[in-house]
Amino acid sequence: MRETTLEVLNEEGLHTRPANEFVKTVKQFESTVTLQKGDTDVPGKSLLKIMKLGIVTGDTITLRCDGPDEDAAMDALVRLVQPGSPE
Amino acid sequence: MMQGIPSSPGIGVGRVFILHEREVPLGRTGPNPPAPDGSGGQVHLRRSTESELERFQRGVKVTGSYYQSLIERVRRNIGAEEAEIFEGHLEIITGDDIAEAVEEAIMTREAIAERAVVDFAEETARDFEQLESEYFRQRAGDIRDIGRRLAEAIYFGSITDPGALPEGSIVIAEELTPSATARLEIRNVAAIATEKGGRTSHAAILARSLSIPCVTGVEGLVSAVRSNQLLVVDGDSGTVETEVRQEDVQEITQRMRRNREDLQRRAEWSRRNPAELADGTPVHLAANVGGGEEAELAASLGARGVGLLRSEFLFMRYSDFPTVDQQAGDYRQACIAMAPERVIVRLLDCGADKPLPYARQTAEDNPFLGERGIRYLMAREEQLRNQLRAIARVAAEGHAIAAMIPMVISLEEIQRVRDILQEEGAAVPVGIMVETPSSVLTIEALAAHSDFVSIGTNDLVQYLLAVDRGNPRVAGLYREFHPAVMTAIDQVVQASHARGIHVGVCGDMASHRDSALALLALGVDELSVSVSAVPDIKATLRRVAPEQLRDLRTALLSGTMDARDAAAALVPENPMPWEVG
Repeated sequence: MRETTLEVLNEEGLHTRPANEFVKTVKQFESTVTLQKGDTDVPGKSLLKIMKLGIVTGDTITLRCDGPDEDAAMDALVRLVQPGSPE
Repeated sequence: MMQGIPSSPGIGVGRVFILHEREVPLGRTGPNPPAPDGSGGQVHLRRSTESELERFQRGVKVTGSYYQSLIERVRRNIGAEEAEIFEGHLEIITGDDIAEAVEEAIMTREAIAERAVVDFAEETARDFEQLESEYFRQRAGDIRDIGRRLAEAIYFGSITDPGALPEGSIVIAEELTPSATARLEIRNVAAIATEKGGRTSHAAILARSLSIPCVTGVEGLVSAVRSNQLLVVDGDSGTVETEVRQEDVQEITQRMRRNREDLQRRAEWSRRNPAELADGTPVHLAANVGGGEEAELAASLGARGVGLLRSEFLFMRYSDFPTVDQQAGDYRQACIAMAPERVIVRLLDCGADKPLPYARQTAEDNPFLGERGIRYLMAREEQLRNQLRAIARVAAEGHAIAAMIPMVISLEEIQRVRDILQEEGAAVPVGIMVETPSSVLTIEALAAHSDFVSIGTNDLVQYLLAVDRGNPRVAGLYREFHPAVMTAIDQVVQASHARGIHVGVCGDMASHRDSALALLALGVDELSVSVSAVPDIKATLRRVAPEQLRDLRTALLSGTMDARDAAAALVPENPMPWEVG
């Protein structure tokens, strides 16, 4: 399992558009992804639950990826919330 | 035949497209009561658990394909970024969260599918309203909208789609909200008729600027027509004709074509002839627009500048508050169309009859006396700041642009706007809309802190006379030539000129021939008129001499009720100059 805690740096946080992008990315991978903000942990495939976390730029979140392609999944998701971070 | 209020000239024939929020009966939760007489009546009864689950799944399919076509249309008409937001909505509709919650409500709480969907949307919307970020709190409206569309699809098996209207449609609505109008495929609209509203309701203003025939205030309209039925809407006489024969259709189609040709001749004449009085005294004639495309049209008719850019119309094209970049883009487009003349941007004036869906304004008992105009912006300073920033950016690029504050009642409001502009290091002229009685009574103080004033006659008349302009029962009392209105305009002009500042009028009064002459007689410096009225007003001015206006002023301020007759007497007889030769 991979786990990363990081700051959300993209301009819109996880507004409808980037959050949907996040969900689409999660669905491309086999691994199970969860996203945590504060004490709440939600499945990475659920757009509504992710949006209910109200994640804005500057928030700290924890991503967990578990499965055969967890490394690739984690890389793709980190790039989404931290655009411009090294590939 | 039904009679309403003539609100935009011209005649249109076509098939009825009813635009309304369809009421979905939500029934109850729990087992069905035994029907007392076995009839079942109007109550929407729950069927078996399995059939409710199936109804929900069918509803999801219908809603999903509706959103697919909506996404395509938004991508084409508005842009990719907006379309991606609707893609998010589609994901929510087809996602597991809603399905799980709804299935549970159907199975364990014996809910009907429609009720389960609406309840889930409401619960989720409330969760969003608890969030800290303003952006996420506003998503509650999206979720409720998704719930309503799903319930509509489950109950009716289809969703009314205002964008899907066929060519040559007659749009019928109880009331046409600006946001519903923004989604209409406007080139397919032959005419508009509404049950509520009047000449100055926003559907009417929009229809006039786009030269679409429109009748408002037709009592009982929506229940009197059927979808797809042939209908004639006559915006000159204010009538809606339901009994239409095939030969009428041909005759009216020909009249519609003649109207179009007439419009082209008017435009041609208007482009070539400047706005001036009979002796050559120039008159500043500007236009009221809702966006850059309309500003281009106004410029092609020879309008000098935009006296009122209704920024709320631009905001309505977005599904959320536009960013500084997006706003600056819209304002720049209008400035480029009008260059070198000035564009006056009225700061966001939402609320009352112009609700902005994502602004999530709470229902008010008296919306016209509620949180609208600058009051709304002062309560949400981030939006005020963003809008001023966008205007300042366009000004810094060298465009002639100014900011105008709606619904001013005190100096503080002007000062707040000026403070923010100063913090942003921007030099932008700031003017006020004079539309409240308090701004008239304190005009000397307000003018001392303004770079220009513009009289918004639609609201000013309704506030001075305490007459709701959207209520057909009192619309007859809405009188622009009332002595109180004449005196108020005179006071504003005198006080502003004493301060050396420019007075414009951007209300509907400037767009009619008799009242436009009255405004000039009262000393107004600039008329800002609806785009389609530019040729008419020009033609009128060019046949009136300055001495005639001086005499008219005396008549207007005499305090009698026949002021309109005095102004109407100066309106030149037809034919209009483009009809000659």
